Amino acid sequence: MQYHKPKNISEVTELLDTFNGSAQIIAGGTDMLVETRYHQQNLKEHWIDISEIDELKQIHVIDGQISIGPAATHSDITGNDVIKQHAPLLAEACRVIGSLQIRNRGTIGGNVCNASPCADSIPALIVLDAQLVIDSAEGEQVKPISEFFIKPYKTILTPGSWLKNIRIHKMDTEDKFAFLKLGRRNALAISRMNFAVVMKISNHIIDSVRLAPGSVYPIWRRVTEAEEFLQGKKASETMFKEAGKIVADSMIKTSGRRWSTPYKEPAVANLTERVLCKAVKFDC
Amino acid sequence: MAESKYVKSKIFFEEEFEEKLAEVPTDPKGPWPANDNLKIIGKPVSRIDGYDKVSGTAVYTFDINLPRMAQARILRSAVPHAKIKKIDTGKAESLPGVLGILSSNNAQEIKWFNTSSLFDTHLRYQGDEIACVVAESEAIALKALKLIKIEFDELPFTVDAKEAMGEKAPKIYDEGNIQGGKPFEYARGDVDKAFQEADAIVEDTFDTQVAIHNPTEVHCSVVNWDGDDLTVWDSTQAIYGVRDTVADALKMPASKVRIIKKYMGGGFGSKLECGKYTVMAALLARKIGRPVRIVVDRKEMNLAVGNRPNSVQKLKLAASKDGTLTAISHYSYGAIGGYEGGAGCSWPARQMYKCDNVKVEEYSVFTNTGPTRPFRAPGYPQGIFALDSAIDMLAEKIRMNPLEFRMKNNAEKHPMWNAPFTSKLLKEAYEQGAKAIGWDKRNNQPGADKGPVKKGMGMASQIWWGGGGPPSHAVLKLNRDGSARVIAGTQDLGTGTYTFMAQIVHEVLDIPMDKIEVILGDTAVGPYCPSSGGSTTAPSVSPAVRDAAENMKIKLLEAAAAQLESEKKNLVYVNGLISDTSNPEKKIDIPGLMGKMGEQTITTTGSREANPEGYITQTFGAQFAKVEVDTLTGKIKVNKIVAAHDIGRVLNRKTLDNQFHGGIMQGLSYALMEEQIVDINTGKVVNTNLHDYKIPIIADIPEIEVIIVSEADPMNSNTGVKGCGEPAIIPTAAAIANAVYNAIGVRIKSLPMTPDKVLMALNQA
Repeated sequence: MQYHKPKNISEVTELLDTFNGSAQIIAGGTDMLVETRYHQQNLKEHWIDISEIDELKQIHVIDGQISIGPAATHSDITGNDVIKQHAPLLAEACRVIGSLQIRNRGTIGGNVCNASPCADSIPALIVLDAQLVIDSAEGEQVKPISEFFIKPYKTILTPGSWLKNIRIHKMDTEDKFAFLKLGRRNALAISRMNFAVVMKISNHIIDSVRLAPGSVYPIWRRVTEAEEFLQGKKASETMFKEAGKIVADSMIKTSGRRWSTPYKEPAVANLTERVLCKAVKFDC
Repeated sequence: MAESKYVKSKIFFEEEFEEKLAEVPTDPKGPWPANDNLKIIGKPVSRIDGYDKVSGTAVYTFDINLPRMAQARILRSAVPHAKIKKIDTGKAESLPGVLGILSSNNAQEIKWFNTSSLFDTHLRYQGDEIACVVAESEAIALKALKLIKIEFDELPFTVDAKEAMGEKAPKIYDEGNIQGGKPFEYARGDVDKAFQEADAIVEDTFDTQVAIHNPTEVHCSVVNWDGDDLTVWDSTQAIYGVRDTVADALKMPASKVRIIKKYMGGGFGSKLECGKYTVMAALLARKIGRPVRIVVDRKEMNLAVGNRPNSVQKLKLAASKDGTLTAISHYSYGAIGGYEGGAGCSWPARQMYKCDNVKVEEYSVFTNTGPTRPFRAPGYPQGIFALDSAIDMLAEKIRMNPLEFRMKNNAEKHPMWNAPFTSKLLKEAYEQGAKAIGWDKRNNQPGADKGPVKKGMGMASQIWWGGGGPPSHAVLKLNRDGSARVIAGTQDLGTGTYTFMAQIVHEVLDIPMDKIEVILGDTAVGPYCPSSGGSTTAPSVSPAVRDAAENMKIKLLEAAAAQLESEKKNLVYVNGLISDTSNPEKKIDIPGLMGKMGEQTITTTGSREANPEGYITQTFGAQFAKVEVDTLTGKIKVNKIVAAHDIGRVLNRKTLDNQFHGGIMQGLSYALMEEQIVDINTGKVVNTNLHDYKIPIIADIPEIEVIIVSEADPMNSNTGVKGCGEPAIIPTAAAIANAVYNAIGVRIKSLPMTPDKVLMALNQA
C-alpha cells in the first residue's frame, strides 16, 4: 500500500489519472482504517489523502446554494455558521455521528462515499435534495444524491472518479425539520435506524413533506408513499401515526420480512411518528 | 516484639470455604476508631500511581520490551469441535523471521485442565489452542500462523446447554456433558410442604447471557530465562498462583520462577489463573534462548480467556400472607464450555434471605463454547437477577411493598449455618438507599405513567463474601532519611492497592505520603499474600500493613526508651517525633534515633489476624434504580442508581467510589447491552470485538450515588475492612429489571434487556 498526500485538487486528479483505477481517496480514514483489519481485499494499492486540502474543506454559499467540500469533517459542519443558519437539519444529523473524535476525523464526503446503510448524514442530504459534483478525467458531472447509490457500500463512482463537492439548497427559515437516531448506546453507536424530515406547513396544513429513513431500505430513498399521504392534511398525531404505518408497510414491501422485522416494524412506525412530531414540536 | 502463632483459619474464596494454616500475630492491634477520628484513612486520596498512569509513563506488562525480545502468537481452532489428524508446520518454519513453532507435534506432554494437555489434539471450542509460533516480529508470527496446515476431522458439536444435556447431543467427554455426572444439590427444610401450605406462589423462568470480562489491558506475558531461572512479567491477579502453575508445568522448583506485575489494566477474574500462553512463551523462550513476549489479542480474549457463563433459572417462591418468605426452589443450568468450570448461580437463593425451606439443583454443562472463568462475583449478578425479580413478583402478589418484603425477610443469622455475622447492616442499607432514591415516590401501579416514555423505580439486594483472611503478610522498611517502603506479595489490579497501603503507613507513623514507596507484584521480593479475587485484597492485606506499621512504632519506642533512658510508658510518638511526657527535654526523631542505632534501615513484618471462630463475614447492600422506558422503541434509559452497602471500613473514599462506579457501569452493561452471540449453525462467535460486543460509554452512565452504611467491621480485622469490588456489580441488573417492570408493567425475564425484547414483551402484553 502506498500513501499519497496531494496539496491541491489538481494533484488529486493527477494522482488518480496516474494510478488509473488502482487508487482510492482517503479522507478521515475512520472507515478505511477499520477495513484494513477486516476486508483488505476491498482496499486499493494507492491511497490519496485529501483530508488536509483546504479547498476541499470549505463550506460557503455560491449562487444561493450551500457548497460543502467533501473533506469537511462532521465537526466542521456542526460548527459552521452557514450550515447552522441555512441547513440546521444537516448539523443535527452530523452532531450524532460516532464520538467527538470520530466527528473530528470523519468527513461528510467519506460518509456519503462509504455508503454504509446506517450513515447518519445521508438521510439529511436526501431530504435536502443534495447535488453531488463528481469529477473524473472526462470532466465534471452533477448528480442528485438519489441517483448516487447502487446498493449498500456501492455507489456509482467508477475507478478514477471522485466526489469533489456537495451542494444543497438553503432551507427556509419557516421549514419544520427534525433528525432522529436510534442506536444501541448514547454515543459511538451505529444507527439501527435514523430519520430525517423537512416539512412546509401553513395554517396547520402540510404543504409539502420530505421524509427519508436510514437502515430501513436497501438503499436510501424518500418515502413518497407517506409524503403523498401527508400532503394537504392537517398536521396531527393521528396523521403522523398513519404515516408511520405507511413507512413500516413500505419497508416490508421493499425489504421483505427478516429476522429483525418483528422489532423494526413497530419501531419504524413509532419513530416515523416521533420524528414528524418532533419537527412540529408535538409531544410524542 | 510480637511473636507469631499458627492457626487454622477459614476463608471463603470465590465459590468455597478454604481452611488454611496461617501465621498470625499474637498481639492483635485492636480496632481503629471511626474514620472521622483518623487522619487519612477514609479520605478521598488521589492514587499515588496516578501521575504514572495519566502521563503514560506507567509500564504495563504489555509495554515490557527486553533486548532481543521475540514475539509469539497462538494458532487457535477455527471450528467448535474437531480432532486433529496432522499439523504441517513446514511452510511456516521456512518463513524468514520465524524462530520456532510448538504444537502437539513437538511439545512435551504438559497436563492442563483435568484430562487435557497444553496442546490437545481434541479441539473442544472455537479458540482452543493448536500451535504457538515465535518470530522476530508479531507481524511475522501472525503470517506464519496462516501458513500452518491443519488436517482435522470436524466432529458434531453442541453449543447450547439444554441441548448438550440431552441424550442425542454429541459427547464432549466420554462420561457425558454434565460436569461431575450429576447436578449440585442443596436442601434445607421441607420445600414441598411449604409450597402446599403457601398463601402465594410465583413460578417463572429467567435467563441470562454469556458476558466477557474484556479488561482494558489484554492478556499478555513476557518471559526471560537466565540460566535455570525464569522471570515472567504477567498481567495477572495472582502472582503466586501463576508462579506455581508455571513451575508445575515446567517441572521446576517454584523458587526458580519469579513473577512480576506492576501496573495492570484490569482483570475482573479473567486473569485469576495462569494462562496456557504464559507456559508456551516460557517453552519457546528456552528453545530459542531469547526473551519472548506473547499477546492474546482482543479477538482471542473474546473467545478463549473466560466468560461469565449463561444461565437458565427456574425459580419457584412461596410466601404467607403476612409477608414471610416460606420456600425457594431454584433449578438452573448453564454452559461451561469445553473444559471444567462452573455455571452455578444458586448462592443468592441459598443465603440472601431468611427462608426455612430451600431446594437447589444446578447443572454445569460442557458445550463446544469458550471456557468460563470467575467474573466479578461469579454466579451472583445472574442469581440475584432471577431471585430478586421473583421476590418482587411475590411481593406484588401479596400486595406488599417489595422493600418492606425484603426488610421482613432479612436474615439475622446466616440462613445456611445458623451462624452469627461479624457485622450486618443490610437493613440500614435498605433504609438509607430507599431514602436517597425517594422510594416513597415510586409508582404504586406499574406502568401507570401517561405518554410513551414511562418512568419506574426498582431495587435489589446484594450479598457476597469479601472478609478476606490470613495468610497475608507485609514488610515495612524505614530508612534513616525518614522515608519508608512497604512491600507485599499482593498485586494492584487498578483497584488502588498501592494507595491504601501508603495511607495505612501514613496513618500509623505520620510519614508523609510522598515519602512512602509501595512495592507490590513481585514473588522474589514480597512476602506471601493471596491472589486478588473474591474482593479479598484490601481485607486480607490492609491489616497486615497496619500490623507492620504498629510493630514499627513499638520498635521505635523501645529503641527511644533505651536511647533517652526513659520509661517506655512515658514515651509518645507524634508526627515522627518521640518524646518523654515526664521530661520535655527528652525527645528524638527517626533520623536521629536511627543514627544512634547505626542502622540505615529498620525492618518489621506484619500479618493478617485469623478470622473469628464461629462467625461469618459477608458484605451486604441494596441498589435502587430509576429508569425510563421508551415504549415506542423499547429503549431503556437508566437515570439514577443509588448504591447503599455495608462493606466495613472505607479506606479511601475516592478509590471506593471508583470501584462502585465501575461495578455499576459493568452491571448496567450486563443488564442492557453485553452479550456474546454464538451462531448455533456454525458454533462460532459472531461478535469478537468491542465494536460488535457492546459495552456502554460514558454517555450511557447515569447519576450514581454511593452510600456506605458501615463504619467498620472490627471483629473481622484490625482495619475492619470488607471488600467492595464485587458487591458493586451484584444487584445492578436486578434493580434495573425491577425498575423496568415498575415503569411499564411488563416483566423482562431475559438479560440483556435489549430494545427488541422490551418492545416484543410490550406487544405481547
